[in-house]
Amino acid sequence: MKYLPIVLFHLILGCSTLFAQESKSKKTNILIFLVDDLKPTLGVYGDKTAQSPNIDKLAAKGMLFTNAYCNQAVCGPSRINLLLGSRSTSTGLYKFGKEFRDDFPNAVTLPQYFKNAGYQVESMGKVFHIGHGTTDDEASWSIPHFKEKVIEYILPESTNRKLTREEAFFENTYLYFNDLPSNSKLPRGAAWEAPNVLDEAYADGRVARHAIDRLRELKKNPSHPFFMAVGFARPHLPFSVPKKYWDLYDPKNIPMPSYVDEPEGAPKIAIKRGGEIDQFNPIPTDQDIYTDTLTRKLIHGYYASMSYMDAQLGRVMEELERLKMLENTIIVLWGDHGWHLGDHGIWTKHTNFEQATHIPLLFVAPGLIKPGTSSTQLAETVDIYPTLAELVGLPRPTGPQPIDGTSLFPVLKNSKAQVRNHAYHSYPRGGYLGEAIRTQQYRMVRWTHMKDSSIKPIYELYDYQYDYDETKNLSAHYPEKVKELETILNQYPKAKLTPRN
Amino acid sequence: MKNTFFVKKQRKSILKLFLIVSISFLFNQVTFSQNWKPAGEKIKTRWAKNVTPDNVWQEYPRPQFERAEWINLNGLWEYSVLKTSQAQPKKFQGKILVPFCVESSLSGVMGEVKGDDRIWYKRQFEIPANWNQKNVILNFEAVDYAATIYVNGALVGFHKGAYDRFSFDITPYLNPKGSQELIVSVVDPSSAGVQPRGKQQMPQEGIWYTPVSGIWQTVWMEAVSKEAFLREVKMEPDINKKAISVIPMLSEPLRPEYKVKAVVSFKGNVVAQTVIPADVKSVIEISNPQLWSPDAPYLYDLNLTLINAKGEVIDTVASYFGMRKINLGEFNGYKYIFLNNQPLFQYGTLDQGWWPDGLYTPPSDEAMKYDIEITKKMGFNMIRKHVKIEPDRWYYHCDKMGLMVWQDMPSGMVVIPENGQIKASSRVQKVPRIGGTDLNQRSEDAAQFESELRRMIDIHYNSPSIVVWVPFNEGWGQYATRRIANMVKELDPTRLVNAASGWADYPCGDIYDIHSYSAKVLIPQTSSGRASVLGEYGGLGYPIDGHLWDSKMRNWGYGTYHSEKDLMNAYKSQFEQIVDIKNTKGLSAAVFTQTTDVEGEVNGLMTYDREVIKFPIEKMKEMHSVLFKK
Repeated sequence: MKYLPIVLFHLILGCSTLFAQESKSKKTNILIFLVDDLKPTLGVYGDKTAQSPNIDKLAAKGMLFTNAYCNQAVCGPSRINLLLGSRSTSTGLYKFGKEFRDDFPNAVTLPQYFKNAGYQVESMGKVFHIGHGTTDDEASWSIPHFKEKVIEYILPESTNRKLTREEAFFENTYLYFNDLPSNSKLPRGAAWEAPNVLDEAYADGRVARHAIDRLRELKKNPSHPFFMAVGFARPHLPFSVPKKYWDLYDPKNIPMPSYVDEPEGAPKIAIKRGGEIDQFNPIPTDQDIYTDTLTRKLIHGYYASMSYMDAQLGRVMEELERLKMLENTIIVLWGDHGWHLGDHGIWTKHTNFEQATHIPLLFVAPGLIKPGTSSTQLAETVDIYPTLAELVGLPRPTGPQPIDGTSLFPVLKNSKAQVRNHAYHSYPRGGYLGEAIRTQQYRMVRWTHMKDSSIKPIYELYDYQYDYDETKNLSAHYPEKVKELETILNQYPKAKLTPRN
Repeated sequence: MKNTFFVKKQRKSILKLFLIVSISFLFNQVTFSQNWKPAGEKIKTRWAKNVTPDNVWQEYPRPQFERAEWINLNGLWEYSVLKTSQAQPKKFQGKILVPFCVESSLSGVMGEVKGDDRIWYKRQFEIPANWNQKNVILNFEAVDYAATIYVNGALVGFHKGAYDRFSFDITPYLNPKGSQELIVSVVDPSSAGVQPRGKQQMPQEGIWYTPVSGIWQTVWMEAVSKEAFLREVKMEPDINKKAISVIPMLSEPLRPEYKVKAVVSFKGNVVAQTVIPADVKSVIEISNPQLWSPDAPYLYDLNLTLINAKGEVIDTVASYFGMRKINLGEFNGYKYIFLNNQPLFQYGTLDQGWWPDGLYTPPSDEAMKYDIEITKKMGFNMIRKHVKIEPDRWYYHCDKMGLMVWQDMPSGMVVIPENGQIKASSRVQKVPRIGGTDLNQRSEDAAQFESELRRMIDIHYNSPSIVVWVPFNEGWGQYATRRIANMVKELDPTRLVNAASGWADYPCGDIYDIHSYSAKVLIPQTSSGRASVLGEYGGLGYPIDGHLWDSKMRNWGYGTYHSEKDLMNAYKSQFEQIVDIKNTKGLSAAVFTQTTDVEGEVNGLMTYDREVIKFPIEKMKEMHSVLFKK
């Protein structure tokens, strides 16, 4: 009640510095949930199958972005997009295997920016992508990162007690052992398991436990605001989650992909086959169409994993509420990219299509964001950094790395506000870089050859109002529309075409 | 004959001509031949011009169960198309050439039959004097869809089902001598009903073609002993045990004194001879069996003689069989289709069996054989007979020429009207391609579908060419998939079951089948515990002027090409992918869409009129030979 007059005062003025003002008496914290491979298959996004009560509850406290897109649909680069606030097209960091500080040694990351502003900055679980040759960024955190596993099994038959391919990648085993056989010589682990175990048998349960422990610690020093990044691994493969989460779903009711062909007229480079998913047992290698049984099992596993993660997120939220920290904590939920659940015959991510790039994004800021609202504003991952800064009254970050995002603050204040009419994302494939402009109705992708500028670009155009499933590349039918969207793309600095690897 | 006679005479003198024309005019009242001609101006095949009311479909219609004494009733009949509410007509509207359906050109009618129409047929016939001591069986090879039969004004029987043979013993209805009257009335809901009807649709467009109504295969009579006769025979070859099992079934339950003499011969030489009981399975050993395969389609003749208690021969039937085995085996770690205990890639065409002049009915036996011959010559070893069941002679030719057959059950599904109207955009009753849940079929419709499915299996059980049953295609009318797949397997454990070709897949049957019409041929999963196949691919459209069914309609393929070279390049590119998937991904079979253009779907190896072969035969054969190299 103490703050009510202030809140009213600021609402009347429409002042943007509510939290900054408030933080003088009671500090505003930031809690950001980074969820690996989470697409908007959530109740609050209208998914009728999904059982995501905790995320739904969280969304009811704040604003949901229904048109949010990642800047690149793969974990490592996408997390760099978030944490640097830079698009891959600005940094050239399209791939794994190299630290971003090799190119941007003095970069000020999102958490680092808050650390510099006096926040206690902590991270746990999957935040920066650790693995595939990259490690954590120690400069970002106040205390060492709490690392947990991404690839994890309990059942011996899931691995035959051998080091599996994906585990070797995610544990950076190659950085420490020179004499390992090449990754393709290592055995594949299971794509899913469903043992009857407690939640903390797996990493996300332990990450939630750690977050709860840390929140209790941080509560002891209320004048010191914190920035906490909690990274959950599921629904990333393998779908290793306790059986009870599988049992939430009747396999008969699992939604199956409605369109499984390539879009008519799509260029080959737009299509992804195999990769990642076939690094797991019993996924067939180099085969395009899986039986309905396998398709259903994989989608079931994805939903079960999402629900498991949702439960862990709920545990953290309940503790936050119990500690009465809800009222002065800004909460963000972010999925690093979407996921193909067999649509176009594609699995996992790594494309410029809707299913790989559309992400869940929501902000909760008590007193500022009207609870239970949503916005159709086209948002990008890189927008989060400047948005969070503005939310707590910090100046817009200046890098030195490129700060590409637009603050969504005006939208958070007024869900009808619009700050940009498109989103820009990219993905490299087959020697080409595909850059996409997504508007409310269309997506145009321009594939530019990265080495040979004499090769003509290839275009895709999809109309989401009439063809949400992307069944037809319309670029040849509507060249004017392609041109119009390309004009938007051309307003951006030329994308760095040589991937640094 | 009368026709020819008149024509010759006409040349002789004008006077005679005048006289004869007058006579012939009078004759017209009783002789129909003069006023039949193919209807309409659509393209036709070369065989159409040789069709006459006298020579139409004269071949024996049941080659795997042949009896000597028979009379063919094909030819010009009277017909009327009335509303279902109308009574039997006294005067008929015109003449129709049986066995061509009302909608076809060769029927001479080319009419339309709607759901509330009834076709009436009438003809006179006579029973030869030497059949007096016999019973007369009237056989209909196929009538689409529900037929009611009257002989001399009496109701003989009723039958539903567009594709299966039905027979009635008409002896009690016959006049002691002289002319006999046969009347057939037929209703056909076509695509407005849920009965199996394959690709017949009103209106026709895209992959759906002109409906077929009424009699569309041979109508005939045969004479059998009043005492008893052989009703059917069920045969199962066993190449491992070098034997054929035979169950001769009789028209009547008889005392065990009745015996069946079975004589097996190969190339005219008797290789086994035995006397076996009726209605019981007997095993006849075939030493050193010559196996049936596409490369060497050896057939054994089987002669069955029914001998009564007095030792008299009362029936004789000629049949044949092939010694072959089809099953799933393990090959290179994959589940694979085996023929005669060896892996053999099956490369086939999607064959719709549609004709511009006869629709469901080929203009002649020779024409029907031609499609199979061209397929064989191009180096295919299999034909997927697509949602149609052919006349028995079609299977006979495949048995003889050595083509393996995947036999689809004709789909049964309603075209769902939009705002009460059937439009081109209307959707058929089907389930989604991926994760489709079965339709809920009304029990009567299901009973009818399953009865017709069973008839298909039973009637063709002995044909060596048929190796796979396909109960459902692309989700059309698909229901109770697992139960139907299991039912088919139990009805016929000697063949493979491809439960749902290209669509709504369930873990049942022997084959996992996907359809891929993209330039990049999709690779089916091979670890499903079943053999993996591409049940359809290709669909390369190449419209050729002068050979189009309707040049004004959308002449369509899954991709359209405008030169032989582009077409061949597209084919080559997809074929090379097939070879690669076969060699490296355990693919068991592939089916190219399709044998011929059909109406507006112009993706055939040949044009609809069979005049232009779009792919060079020799080149195709050579290309395809890599699939079969050991």
